[in-house]
Amino acid sequence: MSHRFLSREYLDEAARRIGSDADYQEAARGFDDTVCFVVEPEPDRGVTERYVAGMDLPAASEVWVGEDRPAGFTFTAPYGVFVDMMTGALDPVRAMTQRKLKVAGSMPKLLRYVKGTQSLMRVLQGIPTQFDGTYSSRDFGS
Amino acid sequence: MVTGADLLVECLAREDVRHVFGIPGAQPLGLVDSIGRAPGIDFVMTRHEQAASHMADAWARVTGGISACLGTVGPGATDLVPGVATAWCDSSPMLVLTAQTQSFRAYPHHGSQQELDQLRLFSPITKFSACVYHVSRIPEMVRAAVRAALSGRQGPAHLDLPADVLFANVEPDAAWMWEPRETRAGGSGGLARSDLEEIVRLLEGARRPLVYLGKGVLRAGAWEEARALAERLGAAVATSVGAKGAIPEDHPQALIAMGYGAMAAQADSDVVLAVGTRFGELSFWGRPPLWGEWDVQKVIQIDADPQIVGMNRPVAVGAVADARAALSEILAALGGAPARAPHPGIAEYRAAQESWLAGFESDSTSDRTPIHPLRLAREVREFFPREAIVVVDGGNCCVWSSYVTRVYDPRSFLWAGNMGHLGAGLPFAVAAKLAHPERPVFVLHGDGSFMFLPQELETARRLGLPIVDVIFNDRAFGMIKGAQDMACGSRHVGVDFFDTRYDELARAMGCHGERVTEPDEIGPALKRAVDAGVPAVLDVIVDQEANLAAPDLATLADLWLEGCGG
Ligand SMILES: Cc1ncc(C[n+]2csc(CCOP(=O)(O)OP(=O)(O)O)c2C)c(N)n1
Repeated sequence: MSHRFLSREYLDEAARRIGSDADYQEAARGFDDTVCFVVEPEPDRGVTERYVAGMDLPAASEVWVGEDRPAGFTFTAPYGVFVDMMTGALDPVRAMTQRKLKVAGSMPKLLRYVKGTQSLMRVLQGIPTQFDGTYSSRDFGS
Repeated sequence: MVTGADLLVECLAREDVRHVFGIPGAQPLGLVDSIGRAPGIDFVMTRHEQAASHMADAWARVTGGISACLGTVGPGATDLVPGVATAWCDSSPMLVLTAQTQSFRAYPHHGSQQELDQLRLFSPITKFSACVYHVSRIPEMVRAAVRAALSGRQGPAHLDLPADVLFANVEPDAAWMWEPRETRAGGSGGLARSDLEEIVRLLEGARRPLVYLGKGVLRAGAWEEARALAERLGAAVATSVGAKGAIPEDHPQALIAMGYGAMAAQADSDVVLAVGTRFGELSFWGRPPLWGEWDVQKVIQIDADPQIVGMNRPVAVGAVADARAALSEILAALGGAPARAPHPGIAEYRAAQESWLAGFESDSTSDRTPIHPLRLAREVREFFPREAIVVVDGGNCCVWSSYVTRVYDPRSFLWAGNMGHLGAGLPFAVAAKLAHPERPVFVLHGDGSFMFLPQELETARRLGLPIVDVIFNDRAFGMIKGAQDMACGSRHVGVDFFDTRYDELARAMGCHGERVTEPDEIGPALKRAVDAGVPAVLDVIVDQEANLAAPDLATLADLWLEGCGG
């Protein structure tokens, strides 16, 4: 079943898959931190909502939505950048080095867990996803 | 009576120029003859003038001294250009000598064969470019050229030498021949007192200091001071790629250039002491997020050139000084307090570095055929001793090699980095071996890059310089082919080669040559290459598909093509 990107259902499904993915759990072992995604709206592309979501990783035992809770890492970017990352068009590390994705948090720790990040993207890319506004042309999965 | 050429050679010898690399011609006949007759200075014939300028560049890089290259008027001069431009970009000093038509026919020229305005040709890529119009000015002009080449930010200096001036007879006049030290600025070139105080205050207050070393540290011979200062401060140390070896890459506080550990340190440190670096493209412009935020991270920048200070990132203290003098002064000002323990961030940076390196383990030990470029690079580095001089010249094969090729000594890593000039590798290796016959010298070479100047194998053979040239043969300009995969929908234009036997080419020039196709043959072939006692080429067939997919090609492409869409 397909979920709207960053909806409560999407995040619950993401948490379920993250928590049970052996590869990811191995790659991110020891990360033990909280992450928060701040997704900025793009009204001209039909994305009107600002999304905020967070969880603890690698366990993904707690998910929060719509709440600017302080977290170990905060990743901020316009909606389209997240669409590019979710669809595999943009590698998250390159998104960061190109300054498309802003990061607040410990850079040494983030660089230590690049493999974990890549594995996380693989898990998320397995979730059938629908996007807002004109980005709906890039929905994937079924 | 002596000739102008004799006088010039005497002046070069006084400046401790021991080699003039080049190819003779009609106008410089007398000059080459004088060099041939003079004790203590040799004419080193190359098979292309480009190789001559690359050799003069490499001589400076590995010795810290200066040598010269020579081209005849017109084609000899134009052929020197690539090597001079490469040295210009990497701040490497040399004297560029070009013969010119007679002074009464030049500037403006009026129909001599090979005539060329060589002053304008060299002016954008030299610190000094002048025509010696009269024999009596030779000593003064050599001094001016050397002074320019070796002062401030170093680089090439050019003398254009009309044939009649070289052939002119002149009474030797001792009054012209001053000692070099009598004609240079004195003083230590150290720091202004106020800068020194502020630098010490910042460093003493730093929680997570980083010492960042550029090629200026190698030119200034300041690596001992840099290391002592880093140890005194408990600081992390990273280098620009071009300055690899300024600190041994296995020093417990050192991080591998451009690796994830170095990136972590660059982003995380609260105070950065940057010495002899301009924060160029391959240092990610000194910009966040791969460096700290401009208003948070305090940068102390020390450089010999005021134009470099603050060029790419704002500084808390910017100082124009000789790197060695400045670092000694900082050390002295910090006083005799015991060294601080390495700060806790260093363990975090090293963890990031280890996790990054772990990703290369399986490819670097792969038994697959065709050979993985990382397997080849690892075996080559492990085969040669620590003190070997490492030369890299290629595209993706050099990206792969960078993950496993450690440099442990200063002035021991040669790469035409800022110009990115393919083809410099073999002449670099020849000059390095000429300067340090006792040290092993090897080249990690792309097949495309090797073929720019393969004829210099003959130079190496003739001079008896047994270097080992390892060719990563992927039958392509791999880096560009890989970039076409990323940016041009995998349409390949102008990147594939005919299967060429580089080993046979080497043998035709009296060198040792072998083709290697199996991974377990790499080690034995390296041993045979060294045992041969002559220059050797290993033509190693590597996996093209793997070579095209060098992990950091995308990051490099982001830098090179920033602002070009995509
Ligand atoms: C003189 C010169 N010409 C062209 C280029 C552009 N260029 C950069 S990398 C590259 C390909 C290098 O191929 P090769 O040496 O075979 O190494 P590979 O990438 O295959 O490992 C080219 C043509 C350059 N840097 N220098």
